[in-house]
This record gives sequence, structure tokens and C-alpha cells, in this order.
Amino acid sequence: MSWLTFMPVALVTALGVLLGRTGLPLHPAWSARLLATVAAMAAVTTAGTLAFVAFDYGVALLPGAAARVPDRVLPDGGAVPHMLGVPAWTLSAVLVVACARLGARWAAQLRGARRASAGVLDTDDPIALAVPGRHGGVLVSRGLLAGLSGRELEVVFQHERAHLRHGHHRFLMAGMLAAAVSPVLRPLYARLELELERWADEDAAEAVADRTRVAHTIARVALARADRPEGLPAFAEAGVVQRVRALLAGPPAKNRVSGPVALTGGGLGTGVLAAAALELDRALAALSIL
Amino acid sequence: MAVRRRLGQLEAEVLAALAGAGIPVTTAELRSRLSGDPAHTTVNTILFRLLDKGLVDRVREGRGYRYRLVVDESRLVADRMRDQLRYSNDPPGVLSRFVATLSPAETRALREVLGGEPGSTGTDPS
Repeated sequence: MSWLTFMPVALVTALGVLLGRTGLPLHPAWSARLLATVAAMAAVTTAGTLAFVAFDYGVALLPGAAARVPDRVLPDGGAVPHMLGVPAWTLSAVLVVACARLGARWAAQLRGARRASAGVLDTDDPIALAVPGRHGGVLVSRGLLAGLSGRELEVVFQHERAHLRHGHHRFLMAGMLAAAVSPVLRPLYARLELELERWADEDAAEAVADRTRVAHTIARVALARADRPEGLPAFAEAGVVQRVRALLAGPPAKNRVSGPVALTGGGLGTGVLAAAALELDRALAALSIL
Repeated sequence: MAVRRRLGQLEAEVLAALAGAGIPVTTAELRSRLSGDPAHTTVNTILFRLLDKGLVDRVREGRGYRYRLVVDESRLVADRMRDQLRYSNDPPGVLSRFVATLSPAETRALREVLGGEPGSTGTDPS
């Protein structure tokens, strides 16, 4: 147990906070991939570190248990102080509960949306949702179908198709997990959400070969939703303005080289740190030899 | 590129193609508008599913059918049993929605972006 124990989690979290704050000058498809990778690795690293500290503390408290676990997982450093051990146990318990609730919420959402997508939602609110899964599809409302022209509907369906095609719900899961495990990573999750919408917008713009039409469709649907008398305005910025501005500006560079390079670099870097957090005792031993 | 796509993704693509076509189309015409050359039977499977949902209707023509998107308010059979309120506000989740609800500041900014732009519609259809 030394300050090095917390180095992986500190580094990955710092990277996550930085990326959440500033973003990257990359095509949204690459930004989203990188952000989701960092989010997933941050979640793993945080959980791994907590489990390591909690385990070492537990073993020190129960000498009888130490005899029954394999030698290689036993802590070889000094004892974990109560000041670290007790919070580690508490946080681990909180985490387990939070993740279980998150999983239950996802399952309920998917079940409900799959059931609802057997028909059309009965509301004037223009709604379109991508429902992932083998029997997923697009869930739309009466207001969307009746209020938009055919060419606008084409944009909406192409946008949702992009979400389904690239499995964006998995990216969202990684982001939500990171935000649940570590509240300082909430901005990372928010940025990831925005990049995924931008990615789907860019895909739709390519499919219909008309950026302006995509921008105007997004703006129309957003303003129609805002004009509804019973609709409550959102408290958080949803990034719609950024999406429309980006579409009205020119197409972004594809980053065919810098995208993969950034993703590989970020993935490898955070992957090594996550692996170190999962095998913390060995990583620390290796460091002490050096 | 023969990618085996999940039905949900193909459903979205079929809906986009029907919306873009503007006129009722046959399965063969629809297939030619889809990427990746999906099988005739696959496209029909999707169309039957959409008929079931009430999103699509068809008119007989010769031995086959022409399909189109149902957008007419009077002909849309929305299911009143479904809990649409759950989808009217924006809970964070794994369901990607087209646009989230705007904050008042965003509404103003969006109107400004659109107001400062010459021409109000997109380019001509190809």
C-alpha cells in the first residue's frame, strides 16, 4: 500500500475529466469511440482499485481468512489503515448498489420501449427513439409522422438508423457506468452523449447528401417540442444548437489517420492503467523492482 | 459489402427509404434504394412488421403491392394504451432520441442561428 496504489485511477480519471471539459478536434465518430473507451477504462480502474484496497483491508482484519486464499493475492505491503479501508468498503458497497440499479433501469427501459415500438406513440410531441436489440427498431410518435414532410422524416430515420447501426447504446452504457462509478466523470458522459448525436447527424447528412436539410429538421423538431404548452423546458443544455451549427458549417474532416491513432493511443494508455489497477499488487511489485 | 444487419437497423433504413421516396413503392423498388442489397424476403419481413405497427400501408397493384409510409393524422392508429408520457420528458438512458427537450436559452439561440441564415430550405432533391 503506497501512494502508487492510486496512480492508475488518478491518471485515468484526470484524462476523463480533461476530455469531458475540452473535447477533441476529431470527427464525432472518433471522439465518441475515444470517450467511450476512456469512460469504460475509468470505470474498471476505479472499481479495481476500490476492490483492491477493500480486499487488503479485509484480509488484514480477518487473519483466519488469509490462510484460505491463495498466497499470490495476499497483500505483501503494509497493512491498510482504517482511514482507507473503511471508505473503500463503504464505496464498494455503494458502487455495487448503484450498478445494480443502473442495470435494472436499462432493462426496464428497453423492455418498455420494445413493447411501445409495436405501435405508434399517441402524442403530438414529435418523438423518435432508437430501440436497440435484435427486435429493436424505431419508436415514433403520431406528432412526428403528421408534423414532418417526407424528406424531413427521411432525415430522422437515417439518424436513428445510425444509432442502431453503430450500437450507440453500448457507448452510452460505458458513459453512464463511468458517471455512476465516479461523479467527476459526469461531464465526460455528457460530452459522449453529444458526440454520439453528432455522429448520427453526420451519418444522416451523408445518407441524404444534404447537411442543411439535416440541420433544419433537427431545429424544426426541437422548436416544435419547445413550443408545446405542456412541455417542460429542460434544465440542462441538450447540445441541439451545437449540432445545428456544426451541420451548417462544412463537413468535418474524416480523420482517417489521426482518428485511429488517437483511439489506439488512448485505448492502450488507459488499458494499461486499467490492467495495472486489476493486478495492483503485481504492478506495484514490478515498480518496486525497477 | 454484404453486412448482415440486425432487423432494427434495416427497419430504420426501410422507413427512411419510404419517407424519401414520397410515392408508394414496390418491394423491388424499395430494395434498390437500400444499401447492402438485402434479400427480397428480408425486406418483406420488415414491411410486414411495419404494417403490423401501423406505420406503413399498401395498395394492390397487379400481383403485388405498393407500400407507403402512413403520415396522415386521420389514418394513424396510435395506441392510447401506451404510456407516452414516459417518453415526453428526457430521462437519461440507453435510448437515443432524435432531439432532447430544449432549455429556454437554447430555444433563443436556435432561433437566432436559423434567423441569421439566408434561404430557409435545403438544396433540391437529387
